[in-house]
Amino acid sequence: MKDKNKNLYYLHELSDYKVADEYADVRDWEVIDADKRTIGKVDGLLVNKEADCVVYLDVEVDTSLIEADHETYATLANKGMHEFLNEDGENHLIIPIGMVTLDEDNKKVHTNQINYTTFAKTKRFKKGVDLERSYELMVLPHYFPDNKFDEEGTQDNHFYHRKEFNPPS
Amino acid sequence: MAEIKIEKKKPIWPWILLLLVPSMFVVSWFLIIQNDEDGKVELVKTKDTEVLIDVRENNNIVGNYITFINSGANTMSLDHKHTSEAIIKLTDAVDAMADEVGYNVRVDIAKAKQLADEITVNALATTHADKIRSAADVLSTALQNMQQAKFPELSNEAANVKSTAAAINPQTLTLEQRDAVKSFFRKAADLLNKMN
Repeated sequence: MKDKNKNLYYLHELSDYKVADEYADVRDWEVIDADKRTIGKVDGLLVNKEADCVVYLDVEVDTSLIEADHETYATLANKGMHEFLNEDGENHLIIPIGMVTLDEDNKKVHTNQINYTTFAKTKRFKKGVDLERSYELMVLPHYFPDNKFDEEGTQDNHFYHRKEFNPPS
Repeated sequence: MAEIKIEKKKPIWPWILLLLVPSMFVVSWFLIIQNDEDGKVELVKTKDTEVLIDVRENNNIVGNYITFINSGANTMSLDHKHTSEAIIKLTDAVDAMADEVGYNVRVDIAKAKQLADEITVNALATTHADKIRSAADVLSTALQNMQQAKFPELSNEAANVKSTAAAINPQTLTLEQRDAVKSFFRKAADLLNKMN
């Protein structure tokens, strides 16, 4: 992860920022996949300062999810996917905020577009690691195989204006 | 789809100031109060009258009267010269004593002097006892007032002077009540001696 994206921060790193009053702070909320299975809990919020919003949820995954596919994720060559090898201690993954809905009454985060298997085979990282754009471009096509994430146009903050990060207007 | 906005935290220092400033006022107020109490001079109730009995005035005029009374002047002549002189000396002594201790007896003194003069002039008048009694009353009252104002410890002595003055019968010739008159002068001398 060499290409450090300086516009992506953990919210807890920004001591002068907080979740806006009208919005839910979903940290510690349970994350439920499209199969209604718990994949983990929200451990942190990754924010873009220019967009003034959370762009990813940093999720600490359950050990059951890690055991489900501890070794590799075989890509489908025709979809351009790669094989991911998760190492021991890599138990965090990111979910674009635009892919989730919030159940504020029960404090749960639902990801209706991604199932358990997809999460199990997602490339993960160790807690607290600075995330780079290259990691984002590795994971996003895995979640959205039909969407195009070319290198051009993904290097600046405008990247977070994509629909994967924003609710439909 | 979810959206979670972030915002800059509102600065906390205005709230700190808001709490700090009144706190400083309260602390300052307590310190001022504390300092006031520390610096306060404790009021000690003191007597507003000096204990004059412990002060020796040694007034000569007073001394003269005391000496006159104690110098064996046991006689009382027919013209009452001695009585008149005793009253005049007593009057002067009371006046001098009053001056020493800052007590106003001017009116009493004037009255006593007038009575003493009348006794001297009318040596044979049968009314002498009246004059002597009146002078004794005036002087004993002046002495008692001065005692109450300046010499509270001498109340018994002042009362004795007053009672010996009252013992002089104005209806009896003076020569027939020498002892009463002498007793008055001696008690007055005793009181003045203690005052002086």
